[in-house]
Formats: sequence, C-alpha cells, structure tokens
Amino acid sequence: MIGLSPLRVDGREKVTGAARYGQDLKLAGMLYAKVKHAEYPHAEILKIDTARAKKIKGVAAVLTAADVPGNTAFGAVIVDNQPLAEDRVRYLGDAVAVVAAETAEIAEKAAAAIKVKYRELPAVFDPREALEPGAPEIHEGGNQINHHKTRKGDVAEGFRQADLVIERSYSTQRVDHTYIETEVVVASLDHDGTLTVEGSHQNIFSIRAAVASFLGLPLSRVRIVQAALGGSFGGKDDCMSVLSCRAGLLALKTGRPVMLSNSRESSLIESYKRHPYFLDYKVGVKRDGTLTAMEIKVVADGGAYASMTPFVTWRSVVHATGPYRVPNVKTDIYGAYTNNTYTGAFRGFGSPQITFAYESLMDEIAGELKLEPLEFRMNNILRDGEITATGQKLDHTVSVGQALQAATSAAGWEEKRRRFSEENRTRLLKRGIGLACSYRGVALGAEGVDATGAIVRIQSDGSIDLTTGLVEMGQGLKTVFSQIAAHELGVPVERVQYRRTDTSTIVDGGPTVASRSTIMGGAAVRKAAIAAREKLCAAAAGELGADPAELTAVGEKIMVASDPDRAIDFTGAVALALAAGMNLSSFAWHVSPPIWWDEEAGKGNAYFTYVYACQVAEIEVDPETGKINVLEVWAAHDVGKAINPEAVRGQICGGVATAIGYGTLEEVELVEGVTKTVNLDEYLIPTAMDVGKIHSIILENPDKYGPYGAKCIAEPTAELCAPAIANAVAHAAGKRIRDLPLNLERIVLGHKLVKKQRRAR
Amino acid sequence: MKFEYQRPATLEAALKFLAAAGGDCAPLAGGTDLLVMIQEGLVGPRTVLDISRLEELKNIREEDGRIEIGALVSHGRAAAAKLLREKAALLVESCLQIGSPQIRASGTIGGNLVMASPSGDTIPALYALGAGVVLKSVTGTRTVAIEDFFTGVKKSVRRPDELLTAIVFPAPEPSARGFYNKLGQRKALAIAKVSVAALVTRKGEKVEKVRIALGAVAPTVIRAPRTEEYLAGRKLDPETIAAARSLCAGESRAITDLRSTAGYRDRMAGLLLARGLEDLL
Amino acid sequence: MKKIKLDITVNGVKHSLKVDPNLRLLDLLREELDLTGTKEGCGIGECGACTVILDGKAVNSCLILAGQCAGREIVTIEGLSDGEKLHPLQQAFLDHGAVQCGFCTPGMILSAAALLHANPAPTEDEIRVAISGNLCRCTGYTQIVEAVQAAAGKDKGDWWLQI
Repeated sequence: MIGLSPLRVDGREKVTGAARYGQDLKLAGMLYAKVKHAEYPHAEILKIDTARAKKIKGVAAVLTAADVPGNTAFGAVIVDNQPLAEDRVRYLGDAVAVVAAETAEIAEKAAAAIKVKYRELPAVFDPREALEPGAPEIHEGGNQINHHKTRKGDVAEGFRQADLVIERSYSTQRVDHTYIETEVVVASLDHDGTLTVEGSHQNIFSIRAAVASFLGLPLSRVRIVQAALGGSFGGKDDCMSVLSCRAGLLALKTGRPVMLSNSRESSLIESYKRHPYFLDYKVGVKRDGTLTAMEIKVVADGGAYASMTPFVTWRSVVHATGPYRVPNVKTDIYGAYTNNTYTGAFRGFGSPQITFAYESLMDEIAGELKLEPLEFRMNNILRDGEITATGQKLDHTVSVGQALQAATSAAGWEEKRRRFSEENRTRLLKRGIGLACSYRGVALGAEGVDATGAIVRIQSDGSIDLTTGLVEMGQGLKTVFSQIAAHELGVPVERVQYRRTDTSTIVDGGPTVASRSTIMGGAAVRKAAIAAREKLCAAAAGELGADPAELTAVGEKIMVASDPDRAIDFTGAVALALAAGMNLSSFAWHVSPPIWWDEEAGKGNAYFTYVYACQVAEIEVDPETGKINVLEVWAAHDVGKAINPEAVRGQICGGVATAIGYGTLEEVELVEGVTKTVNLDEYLIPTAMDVGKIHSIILENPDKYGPYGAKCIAEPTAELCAPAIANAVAHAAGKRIRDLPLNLERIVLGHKLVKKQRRAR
Repeated sequence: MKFEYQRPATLEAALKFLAAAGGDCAPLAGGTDLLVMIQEGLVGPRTVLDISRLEELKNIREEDGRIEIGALVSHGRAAAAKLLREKAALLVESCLQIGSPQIRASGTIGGNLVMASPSGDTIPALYALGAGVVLKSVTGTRTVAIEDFFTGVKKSVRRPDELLTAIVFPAPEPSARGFYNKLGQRKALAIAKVSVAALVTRKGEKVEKVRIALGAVAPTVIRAPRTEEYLAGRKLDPETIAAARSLCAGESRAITDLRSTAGYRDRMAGLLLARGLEDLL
Repeated sequence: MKKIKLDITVNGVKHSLKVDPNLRLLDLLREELDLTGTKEGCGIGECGACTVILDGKAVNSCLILAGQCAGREIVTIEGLSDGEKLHPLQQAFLDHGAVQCGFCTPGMILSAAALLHANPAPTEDEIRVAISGNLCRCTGYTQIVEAVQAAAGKDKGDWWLQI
C-alpha cells in the first residue's frame, strides 16, 4: 500500500459532479450577503449611513464594526486585520459594512445604497518608501511589520577574501492564487447556540479562533466545517476568516443562515496575494568559484495587514543563500505595511521570490567567472553533515547534488547547453536550457509548536473512520492518510472513510500548510492506526494462541507473522475486541522533533529536516517579440519516500505550471492601490497550451523523522521553474531579466509594463 | 442583470421590434461579449433581443465572386467552413485566435464586429479582405465598408434600429495570399496586444495590390496606407520588407494600457507585418 | 419582469419551465434543476468551470441565457454516467490522477467529451486546444491530457454519441 497509487478516495464524487463545494450549499431560509468595500486605499471613516440600505425591502441586516460583539481585529501573528473596518480603511479590499438580504441582488443594491463619509489620508504603495521616515503611518507603531536576520561569520572578512564581488538587484511581483473556486461560506446558528461556518476553508482552526474572538464566543461554540475545497494553495486562510467573521456576525444577528461569497472580482481585489519582494544581493567569490560571503537585503510588501508576513519572510531569511556553502552571511529581511492588497501565504511561502533571486544570481556569477552553471553549483552546494547559513548542521541525506544530477542528465543538459549555443547563431527562435535548485525546510519549523493528531475508529462491522484536523484541498491528503491507515491495519483503502474536516471532531492540530501534512499528519495517522491494530492483536492473541507481539495485520486478517495459517479475519478480531470491552477508538498525537531559533542572533536549527530539488527548463524565445515557449521541464524532487507516487507526480506537475505562470505571465497590477486585473481576462494564468511537457523525477532518501521515510512535496515544486526559465532565457538570448514576470514587453524592452507609480501622495 | 427578453422568430420580426424599441435594446448574437458587459454594468439595456436562433443569418456562401457570411455564423463554424478555408485562410486563422473553443462555439462573426473592439480578432482580417458590413432595418438595407463601420472604441455607425446581418467581401483572386498575425500574452484566451492582417495580390514578381490592417494600435482597427502604397509595384524582397516594417511601425498609433505599452506595440506592428510578408516569399 | 416559458432537454430529460428572462443557463442548471456539478469560477467565460455541452458543442453556460436554449439539448456532468458505471472519460480521469481539487473537473471532462465526439482520435496538440478554455490550477494539465489520450484510445463504442 505504501508506494502504490490507489485511485483517489474522493475521485468518484469529483468526476461525477456530486462533490459538494461551498457554492453548492443551500440551507432553508438562507440569506445572501454582500460587502460594502472601501472607496479609498487609505482613509478615515467619518460616518457610515446605512439608513437607506436598511429600508430596502428584503434586507435583513446591515452591519458595521459597531455591531461586532467581540474583538474587531484578528491575526494569527499580529492582530491587525479587521473584517469590518472600524475607523480607518487601509486598502480597497476593506469592508465598511456587510448586508444580508433575501437575494444576492437585493443585498447588492443595499450595499450600493450605503453612504460613507471619509477623510482621505496620505497613502503609500511602495514598501521601500513605507519604511522611510515620514512615510504615512498605516498602523500605529510604524510601517515595519518585522525584521528578520541571519548572521554567520564575518561578511566584511568574506568580501576581503573574495577575488570578485558581485552586486545584483532583483524584484518579484504580486500574484494571485487563482484557485478556480472563489471564496465562499455559509454561516448558521444551531438551536444549541453553536455557530457553524461551512465553506471553502483551508485552515479550520485558525478560522475558528478568528470567528470566536470576533463574535465573543467560546471556541467550543464555533464550529468550522470544510466543504469540498476547489483549490487553495495557501490562499484560503485569512480571507476565509474575514468572510467567516462577517457571515457569522450576520447569522448571529438575524438568526438565519447566511451565505457570503466572493465573485472573482471581489476575490482578486480583497483576498491576499503573494508578496512582491525587492532583493539586493552582494556576493563574494574566489576566482576558482568558491563563495566567500553573501550580504542580502530584502524588502517585502506586506500590504495593509500583517497576515503571514512575519512567517513568510522568516522562511525567506532562513533560505536566502540557497543550498550553498557560504562561510560568511548577513541577511536582513523587512516586511512593510503599504496600502496595497495585503499579502500572505501562497504555495512556496517566501521561497519562490528568493529562489528566483539566488538562482538567477548563481548563473550570473558563473557567467562572470566563465564557469558552467552546473559545475559552479556542484562545487558550492551543501553536502551531508555541512552547516547551513543559519548555523544548522544537516544530519540527513543532503541530496541537492543528486537532484542536480538527476534533472540535468534526464534533460540532456550538457549536450543541449552546447548545441543550442551553436544553433542559436543561425536561428530566429532561440533555444535555451536553464536550471535552478533549492533546499527547503519541511513543516512549520521554528514558526511555532508543530503538532497534530489523528483518530482511527474501528466500527463493529470492521469499517474504519479516520479523522484528523488537516484538510484535503486537492493535494491528495485523504487518499494518502487512508493509505497509511489501511496499510497499518492490513485492509484495503476502500474500508477507510476519511471524515470531513470539522473543528468539532478533533482538537486543534494546526493548519494544513508548510507541506507538513504527510510528515506530521501522516505520522499521527500511522501512530493511531498502529495503536488500533495493537488492540486487535491483543484481542485476537488468545484465540490464536500467540503473544500479541507475534501478530500482524495483513490481507484483512490478524495473523501470526511467522505462521500465516494461524489467522483470524479482521472483522472477527473486531468482534473479539468489542466482546472484551475494548475501546476501538485510537487517538494519537505527533509532535515535531526539537528545533530552535535565536531571533536576536539570527541563527538556529530552523527546521528538523529539509528537502532538495532541481528543475531544468527548456524554452524557446522569440527575441524580437519576447514570446517564451516553455517546451519541457524536468523536475527532480527528493520526497524521502513517495507514499503515493501518482499524487507526487500531480503535485510536481501542478507546482511547475504555477511557476510557469509566475515566471512568464502573471501579475496583479495595482495602481495606487487600485486593482487593475479584476477578472481572469486580465489576470492570466497558464492554459493547457501554455504548459509544456513536464517530467517528474522522484528521488527517495528516507528521512528518520518521516512516516516510512516520507518528507514533503507540495511547495518545493513551485519555487524553481521561474528562475530556471530566466536562466534559460539568458542562455537562449543572452538577456538577463532580473524582474518577474518575464512577459513579452520585458524581454524586448527590458522594463516593466506599467509605468512607475507616483510617490506617496 | 435585469432586462426583458425577446426572441423573435424571424428577421423581419426582429427588425420590427428594434424599430419599435427606440434604442434601449441590445441584440444578442452569441452573447460572449454582451452578457459580460451587462454583468459588469457597462451596458444596461431594457431589453435583450435574442437573435441567436435566426437561421437565415447563419449561411456562408459564394455568389458572383462575392463571399457572404451570415452575421450569426459562429467563429468555430467559420473556421471549419471549407469555402473560407480555401478562399479566406486569414479569416479562418483570425477566428481560431479567438478566446477558447467554448467562446468560438458561441461567439459570432457579426457579434465581434458590433462589439467594435480595436483588438477584435476577425476585424483586421476583414479589413484586409475589403469587406462590407450589411446593415438592415425596417426602412431598408445598406452596406458599409468595414473601415467606415467603426467610429471609436466600442462604437460603430450601426443605428439602434439596425441589425448587422452579414459580412460580404470579394472572393480573393486565387493568387492572393494573406495572413493574420497576433501577439497575445498567452496561447489561448488572450486578447491581442497587437495584430496585423494583410492580403497581398501579386502580378508576376511584383505586388499588385496589398491591404494591411493593424489591430489594437488605435481606437479602431486601422489600415496602413503609406506602407501599402510603398509596397505596391515592388518586389517582395528582404530590403523591401525591412522598409515596409519600419513604415508600418510608424503608422501604428498605439497607447500604453494594462495589456501592453505603446512602444512595444508600434514596434510589433512592423515586425508582425514583416514576418507575414516573409512567409509569402 | 415577465417570466419566459422554456422547454429544454437536460441529460435526456425534458423540462418545461418558467424562468426569469435574465437567467443564465448556469443558473438554470444550478438553481432550478439542482445540477450543481456545473461550477461558476469567473462569470465571464474565462475559466471554463461552467462548461456544458449544448447540441454537441462545449459552451460556457455563464455566457448563455436560458432563453437561448429553448428546444435544445444540454448535457451536464451529471448526464455522463448512468449513476453506476462511469463514462470512459470519467474513469480515465480517475485512473490517470487527473483530478485534484476537482473544481475544474466537470467542465474539463465535458470539453474533452465534446472533442472526442467530433474527433475520436485527437493528437496531443488537439487535446490541449480543446481544453484551452478550461483553466486548472492544480494539475499542470499533464495528467488531464494523459487521461483524455487514454479515453480516446478506448473502445470505440458509441459512448460519446450519448452527448
């Protein structure tokens, strides 16, 4: 079962259209809600006049921050995000009021009838300007959300030892998750006073915390239930808390179920994005290609609210040098508030930005030294037992070299590198091949406590309920967890039913983020299933005349491992256990191995293990039009152990496609806080015609901390292809583009599509 | 989206309704643009006049050296039509560049013209073909040269009581060759950043006649008269093409917007023309 | 606003309805007939999640008025399988790992079905064109293309004629 690829356990309902997503929910008496959005990116709210809106027939409630019974703001790290703006709006996605009505049309009409008086405040849209003295202050205490650093050795000394010091600046853009399902919730009040919010939730426990605090309810009276989730990629977290708070408030005040959903336009304007980064790298290197020092300064645009900025930038600071041996490191990363759409978690979580910078940079340095990019990397990459930029000694198989070799040899790297350079002299369309590699800390790391639980319940008929607090969002978690439970209990996957994720069924096991599900949740499921199996073995031992320790569960039987003929079928063992009064519900809790981080010193053992990867992109670029065609991608990823190889392949292909969009197409255009790309005709993600052939190469170096040796896969897949494409373009056309995305205009003209924004007004 | 809905059974009934409606009525052909505009609040007609089922506007035929395409022929059907594939390949190519299969299945040739977007894909091809637009009302029928049809972004000379019923153009001479070249940010579902269509008729080695149209570089699709004039009577060789390229870039009058920049568009107008002409060599 | 009368066939079942004139086909399916397998992702024909088959062709049901469908035949995802046995495309999507979050899946399968209806043996490029109006953010399309190829290679019975 482990290492096989059974069909998705939630596949049938999805191919038949039976799967029930948030937008498919319909409760009797349900009201529809609409939001009144801010009209300025930064303004003081002087007066909200809801009188006209309230008079419209069919309107059930018009609520503002004044109606909030609890805390008006929430935030997982910094409490600053207001689902209903109280006295100030900080970006155009803020809401000043929310309406519930009999129909969505009436609600929309009522929202439009709300009149708000503002006093416009000076705004700031560039995070670097936001950090300057005298910039308009967006939150009390200044615009700096956080400052993280790493310190290793002495960079001044490192630069002295260098033969060459190279300085480069890079920038990345704001991008949208573009899950095909937009955000939606239905809030309803049970007769016992419990508020249930069902919807397109990624992180049910953080949403519950926000809703309970907002409504002044105990956690036990708020229940967050996940509907089938139409994609998330890190995106349905804070913005779902926002929707849940608003809809919950309306349900509480009206006593009726309330649906609140974002249109695509609202989603693009209101929901958080991936951070734009401005990155300055200074690198010292010896003639022979040995790195001596790196000094890195990064400013991240956090937008109006902190959201995950402190954690996103922390992941960046840990990984900023890339998987290289650098003796002297000084990295400083600042998160800044602006009046732009706020930014937060998005598959990659602070790594796609820095990977773009350091992997572009590695090719640039190799070029300066007249070294081959692959050879240059092989000489500098981290090896087993070496020390990272944060001073962590790597005590697992460090496979970045293996990944580089696997991807490049599958791609025919050396031959193509040579041949394309030759052929390009006479070709109109230039071919290029580029690569990027990375390392990535698995799970939450020193962001906080990392622990999660699972419940395995064996029913009297031998069917099995599996419950965790982690969610399916398409990645295949239900299938992988069911495989693990089935494997340990010796039954087919079909016997396991993964329960819908619901805060009322299990204790808080943290969020489904950081590619932590398999390694953390999978380990918890395994423990719970083993505990359940041990009970069955204990129950069957007498009947089989064996010691429980001699028994095993295979092929729907509990049997003596050394003598398979002495066996009892699974259901029989269940009956024996129940007859003996045993509890066949097993709860297990898994806590991550110890890690530490010293924020002051800028060092620590940031993560308990890492994954390594390399992607190679082969492209064709039309140097005259700037059009890039991504022909083929080879992606080699060390996952520790692939529990479900087909699902791993799905993650790789999806991550690569997302990164192709990031690298060549996508940008949420904001001009003075106004979103210009408000639907999918302007915000372009790759179609099937824009994604070339993707070859997945799965590497397995089992990790001592992972269940069956498994580590992770979801996020590293999305952090490599943009720099691989940029490097391939440089190979093909001799043009180094240091700003994302590599759209047509930028390749031809070398500058941004939209003119520079004016300074703070 | 609030409106009354009417579905007349015949063209005659549709025209009568339009005449009576006094302007506050939007004819619905494929709906792929109109319904988006209504939803986005860009237009708010009192009545939507559903003409999508008028079979008499769905014919493609050739008569006396003229090709006529009914306004309600979908882009998908036009692209598959044997007559057009043989005689107006550039129009077929422009139809295939529209949106996605779903959009091509619903959206119509006539609708694309009535929406009057400067980046509408079929429009430059129809300019190059020298098409005329047939407008019908209860008071009569008139044919307007396609270049006179558009008056600005999303504006045309169609009166509110008129329906665009057909597009007509002379069947190109067998020796005529054309092309439609488009640049979009991605390969499907992309609105043109810039597009160029041309139809070239040659006599011997020399260009006898050429019509060039540029999309998305002005408030309407435009011709490139100076480039056309330059090319007439010349042999298509690399030198001529290079000169035509820079003339054409000079005739582009692009602006910077969300989709591209003026400088890039002007340059690409020249390039796309040159590429198309090179393919004819 | 006057309601309009409408006779349509959905998944082989005839319906006589009275609907609002501004109702989109998407709303008719989801709200009036409770066929919620057809999804809404953008409302402007850019994502393809609402794709259904209308008289044999894949269309965006968000850009078609209910009234336009009078007398016509529509197939939605619910009409592809008989409830027990899956349509070969549905089975291929399962077999080839072509489903992740599943939100684009109904539209994607219907676009593929319309393709195979017209062209039982498409090339990979033809498949990519046929599904280019259906955005997927999870899969990178790789396994979807493989699934369509596999279904196209299957038994050339009359299963796709059902649409």
